[in-house]
Amino acid sequence: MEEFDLQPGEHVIRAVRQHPFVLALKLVPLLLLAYVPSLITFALSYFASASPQAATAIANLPVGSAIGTFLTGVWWLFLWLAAFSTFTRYYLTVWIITNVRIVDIKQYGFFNREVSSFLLLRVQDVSTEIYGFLATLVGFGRLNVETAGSVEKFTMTGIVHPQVIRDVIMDQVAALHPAETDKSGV
Amino acid sequence: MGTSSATSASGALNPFPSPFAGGVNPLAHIISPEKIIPIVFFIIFAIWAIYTIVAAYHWFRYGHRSWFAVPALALHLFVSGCLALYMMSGLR
Repeated sequence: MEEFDLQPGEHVIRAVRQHPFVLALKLVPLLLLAYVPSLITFALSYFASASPQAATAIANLPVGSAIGTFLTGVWWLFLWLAAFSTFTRYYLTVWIITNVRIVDIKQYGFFNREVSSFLLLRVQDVSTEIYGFLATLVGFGRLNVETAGSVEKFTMTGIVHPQVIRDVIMDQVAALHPAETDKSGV
Repeated sequence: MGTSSATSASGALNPFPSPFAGGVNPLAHIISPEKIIPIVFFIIFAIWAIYTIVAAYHWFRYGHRSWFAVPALALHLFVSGCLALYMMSGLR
């Protein structure tokens, strides 16, 4: 991997992304915007039926003609670029859990990227939050990881089944602390 | 106050005459669609090409050698191609 090198004996346990439902929610506004040309055509036909002068003016506009098709295609092309950007951000934002650490990669946009990692040995608390009907029904939520000596809390929102990911992290943390685990009897 | 140009001799207000009232678009003499559309199309293609290069760079550079990078970019090219064909469908 280019952005971080695995240490000897280190291997990737899981790569965690946001739930596809979260991606779908982000794409809904773009889908609605795709209907704007149809709404404009409908509105113009409504005004044309209301006034003969408006009908004359609207008849000269490039709606429904080749230029109208061209402008609609341009609109949809830019919407597609926005949708593909959203999908790219979704796919490139990932938590990579290894048996030693967690790598937190956040893609905010093109040329806007943040990569941080923290050792599992420093993990003090892992908590999950699932708010709302949809999140409970579909199964996505927020995962917070607090580390020793760091004020910043590592958070990932909208991930798939955060409880499962929390258990995976805690299993790895427990595997790194076998003596303490045996001593406490857990 | 003097008589406004929008007031007829009978005193009734006349609506502002539409530039399209004669059935002819006055802008058509200034801006010809045959000349503008290729320029607009070239600008859009340039924006799209730059965007595609940047997106491909991010997928290959930061995709961590994911198998999904190639299908995702292929989908982008396919959808963009379909939309470009749709844009040009009404043009000669």
